[in-house]
Amino acid sequence: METKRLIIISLLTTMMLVLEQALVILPNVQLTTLLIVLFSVHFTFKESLIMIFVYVILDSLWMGAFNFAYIFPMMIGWSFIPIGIHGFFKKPINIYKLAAFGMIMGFIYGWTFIPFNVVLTGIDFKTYLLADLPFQLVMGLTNYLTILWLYQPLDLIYRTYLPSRQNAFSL
Amino acid sequence: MKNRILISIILIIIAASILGTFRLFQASSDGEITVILYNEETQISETIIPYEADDTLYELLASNFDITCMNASYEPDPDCDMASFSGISGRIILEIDALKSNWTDSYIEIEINGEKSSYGIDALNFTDQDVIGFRYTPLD
Repeated sequence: METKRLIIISLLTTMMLVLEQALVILPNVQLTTLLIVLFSVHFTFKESLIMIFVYVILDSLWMGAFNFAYIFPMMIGWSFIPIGIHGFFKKPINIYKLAAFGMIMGFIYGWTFIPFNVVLTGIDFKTYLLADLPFQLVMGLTNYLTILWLYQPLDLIYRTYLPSRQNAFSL
Repeated sequence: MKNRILISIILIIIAASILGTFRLFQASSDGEITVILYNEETQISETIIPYEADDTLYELLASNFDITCMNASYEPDPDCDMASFSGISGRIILEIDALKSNWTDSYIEIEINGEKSSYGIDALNFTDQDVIGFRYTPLD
């Protein structure tokens, strides 16, 4: 990996963490999904996974929850985004499909925590599922709206100021 | 652009409608519960709280005690706003009246009818005559 590209990845991962912390007072309202979608489109699958890995580790250290019961589901949950982007989307990407994908990811991300928390706390599966549903809905809606309204302007900024890889997706 | 605005408005209305009906863990009928505060092994108060259908345990606590929760940055939050802790959303009670924990070396354990609760303050279901205990517990 080129040094320049490595630095860009580091800075963008930092940006992801800072923006998440800026919105931490609003449960499940975040720009992380939007940014991971944007970065997954512009970076390779491997690079996207590296960004997610670093982001999850930093987030866990910062939030004081360096617990594998949270780290694993976070990594799995966020990794579904590059898997989806690189596995199922064909270029040019339709913004409405991308926003719908973000909404679905809001629910899938929440569900990845269920088995870990059921085992860790002994909480009833159905109880947890129902209790978390409103928060998944908030995350899904936030993902949909932020991707629908902010993805294309951010994509334009990225293409203007940062180098694209040859096989980058385009809208 | 018109489509985006229309879709956004429709989605916000649908989500707000669903969230408005989502009031989990409310009492299903009127009754009363007993709330006991413990400082480790010492009982320091016992309060009988009547409730009505649709009341939540958090609402009962907030209206009968001085409580402080923890925000997502692990700092005291007297407003007890909902917070997200690495994907788990809800409230963590740090202080109830004289019981004051700090999460670093102590916490407040929740008990229901003498058993440790598997649920937090926002997920704990209760019925008439239940005894809910809050126990200041130091970490070893």
